[in-house]
Amino acid sequence: MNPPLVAKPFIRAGIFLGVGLGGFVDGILFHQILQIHAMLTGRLPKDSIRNIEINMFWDGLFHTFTWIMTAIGLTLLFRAHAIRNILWSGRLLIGAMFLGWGLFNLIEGILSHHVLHLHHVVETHGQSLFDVLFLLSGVVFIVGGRMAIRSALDSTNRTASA
Amino acid sequence: MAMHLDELRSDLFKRGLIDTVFCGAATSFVGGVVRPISEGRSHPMGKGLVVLAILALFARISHACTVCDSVAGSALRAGIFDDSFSITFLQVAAPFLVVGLTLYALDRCLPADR
Repeated sequence: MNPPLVAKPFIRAGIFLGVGLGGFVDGILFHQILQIHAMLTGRLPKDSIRNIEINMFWDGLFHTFTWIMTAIGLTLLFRAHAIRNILWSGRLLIGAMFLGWGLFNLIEGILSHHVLHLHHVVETHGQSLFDVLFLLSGVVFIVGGRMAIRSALDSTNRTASA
Repeated sequence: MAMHLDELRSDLFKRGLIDTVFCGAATSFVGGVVRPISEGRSHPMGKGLVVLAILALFARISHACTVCDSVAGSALRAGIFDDSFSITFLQVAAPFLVVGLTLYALDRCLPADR
């Protein structure tokens, strides 16, 4: 008889990957491509080269942390792959990644946008609806990710009991 | 400020060109030594030279750092490493620390098999 499948190490890896890649979406899309805010634009508006460069430094630090999260996620995924009875499922991984991304958006949104006021989603608007939408995206990703994980686990349970 | 900006851009451009050439040469050199080693063959120059080449590459890159030695860079450095540096560092790191702690707490709460 085969041992029961385990999912926790795989979910753990997916969550870390989601936090890291979600952070990269924020950093690359919002900070660099659209440039609607940078790490400290709430305090140092991008109205001089000096302020732009200081913001660039802190953006770099932010990307360093997201890189570390992604690297931890990859390491955990590699270790999960070595477990013989791991539940290797695309839906489970995507769900865990969305859960991680949602957690990141929610916590980063609350801390950086609402508590510390390091920056706001659209800096020219200050604290605005976009900050609330950012938090909302976190909640939606967490709920969606949780549903995808649950669905993948239920589907595995049904297959195992059939 | 405009004067400094022009100087900065001109300096960046020149350094960019030099670094492109230097990085190309260093990469070819490292490739020439690393490749035989990675293929299981020993190279007469050995790993020491690989390390030396990598160090030289980083030395060259750090020389190109505008934060390090230009006039604009000094002002920038003063703006980054000011009295509030450690507090700002913690504030930028805070979301990741809180996410990490949240994940740790969740991990402890979940049953071991799932």
